[in-house]
Amino acid sequence: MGRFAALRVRWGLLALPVIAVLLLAFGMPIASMTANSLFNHAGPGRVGSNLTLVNYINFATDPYYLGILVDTFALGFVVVSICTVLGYPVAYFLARTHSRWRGVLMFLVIAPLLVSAVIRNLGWIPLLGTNGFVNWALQALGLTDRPIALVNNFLGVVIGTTHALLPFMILMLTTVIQRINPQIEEAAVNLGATPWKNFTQVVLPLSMPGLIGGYLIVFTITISSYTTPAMLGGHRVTVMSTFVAQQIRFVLNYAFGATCAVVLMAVAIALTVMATRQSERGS
Amino acid sequence: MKRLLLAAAGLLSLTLATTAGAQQVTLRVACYGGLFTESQQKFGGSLFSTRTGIKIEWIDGNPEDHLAKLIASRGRAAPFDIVYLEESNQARAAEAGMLMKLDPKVVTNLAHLYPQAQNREGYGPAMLFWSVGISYNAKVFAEQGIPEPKSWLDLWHPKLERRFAFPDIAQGTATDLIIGTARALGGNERNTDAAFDKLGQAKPLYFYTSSSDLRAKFRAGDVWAAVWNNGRSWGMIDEGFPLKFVYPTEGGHGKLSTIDVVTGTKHPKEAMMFINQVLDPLTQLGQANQIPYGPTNKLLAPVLAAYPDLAQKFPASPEALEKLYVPDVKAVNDNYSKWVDQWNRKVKK
Repeated sequence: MGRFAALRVRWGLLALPVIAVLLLAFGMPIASMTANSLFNHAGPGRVGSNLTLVNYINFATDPYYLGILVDTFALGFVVVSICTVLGYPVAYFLARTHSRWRGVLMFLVIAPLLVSAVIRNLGWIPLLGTNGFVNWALQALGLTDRPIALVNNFLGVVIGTTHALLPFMILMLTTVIQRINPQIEEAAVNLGATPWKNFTQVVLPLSMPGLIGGYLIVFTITISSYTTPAMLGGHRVTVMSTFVAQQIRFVLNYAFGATCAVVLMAVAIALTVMATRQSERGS
Repeated sequence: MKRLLLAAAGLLSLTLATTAGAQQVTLRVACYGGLFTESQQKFGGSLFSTRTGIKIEWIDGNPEDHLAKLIASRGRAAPFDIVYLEESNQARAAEAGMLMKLDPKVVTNLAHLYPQAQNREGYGPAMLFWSVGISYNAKVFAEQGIPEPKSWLDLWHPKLERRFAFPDIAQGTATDLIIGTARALGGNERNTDAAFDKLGQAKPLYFYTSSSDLRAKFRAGDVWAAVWNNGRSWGMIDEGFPLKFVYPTEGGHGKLSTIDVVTGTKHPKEAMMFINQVLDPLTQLGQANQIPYGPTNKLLAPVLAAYPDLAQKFPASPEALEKLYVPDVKAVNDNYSKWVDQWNRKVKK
């Protein structure tokens, strides 16, 4: 065995405790949940002993359940899109600026991550309420004559989730854009590229890894988020996470709740794998 | 003599020390949280700890969450020793074998409770009577020219669109809304299809899960009316908020809150002693005075009769409770999963 191989084995040994913890803390609960989904519901809080796919069949054949999955993904796509559009210019600026305000700006970007989800959402509720600041401002500016429903609905969840996850998108993009050599852009401009062409054909393709990374993080956190849909959706918005919670906490149907959780996890994993492959192919 | 005194003092301190050692018990009590837990601690818990040396550790949550924890802990250590539930989830917990029957020799106050508060199977009794009705901001209603609500169906008034709140299905009060609407439409607990169609047409601002949150929305002027309970509504009225709490003509709903010992507790006797304290007239009166839920101990009848201002805020007697509609708990439990499903599909959107 060469010296490097031996070194690699030793590093591998060091990773063992973490792998063991991960297996215990994540692997076992997921395995037990998956097992629950493969048996019948036998009364409140009871999983039966008949091995069956009936929970999955129920999920796949009922438009209502499929609709929840669609809504969850719709939320994910809307939030990712808004984060990309809002985040890209900020990230580009942060990556290229030499301003002494850069540190302050960076802090402002990260600020939402320093506050817990519950507190952040509690802050949004009075701002977005019927008699809240945003509605007051919209009416004072004459943009609307009656209050708009900004919270306790899908829009409220989008606003809260975008606010929470925008930092991830900006940080991912900033890191990648910083690595794009500014001379490449200068070269493109020197060769006669318009600013738009420079952006679409040079900067954007080169920042693809950041976009994919940001998309992965923002999308997967959005589709699995629970607190914000529960708090800003007014218990009107059903996404997979709130539905799973309802099935397990209130209906006490562990088998079906586990099924929905497994479906969500499987789709999230599939999307992550697809995006990673896409990004590898791109680079 | 001096030596004798010293010996006696030594013996006394030894006895005190051993009793204190033997009584180093902490009871974990699952309660509703917020102001309610505070008042239970103030008028029950602290008195109990002073008298017995037993400590109380409060675990706050909705009855539905407590039930979920009990069910999830089946076959393992009990998550708490005592649990405050509502009549409907008490029945589910008892069915799952999670509750102990009480010993009337320890819970001596059981003998003083109204018959309606007794549990027929010997589980924990109702520790208070309360009710569900309609709470509305009388000032805003007058300004907007909205008539005082007389029926559950009056919440569908066009001017109330996105100005009223319904309880979420995760809240026990949602079952009262479903049954109330069904009865207003000629149905009942076992015939709720029309009610779900009607509820599906309602346009509430949101579905609340927390009374404290609803209270904040009443205060902010976002919510003008809600299906709510008497205790929290009177809490706001007593603070001078222009709220009114009324029973619709179909009848307000009479409700029971229960207290039980959890199967598998290491301290069943101490837990029963605590329940006895909660049923004590002193504790019950303190509780009723702080948040107006009705005592179930009949020894308080003459006291409440002497204070009609207080007694009007809750069902103060079995007669008052009988004027209200008491939903059939079995029907509620039999239909609960179906109701959640219909709620998801028709109401929540």
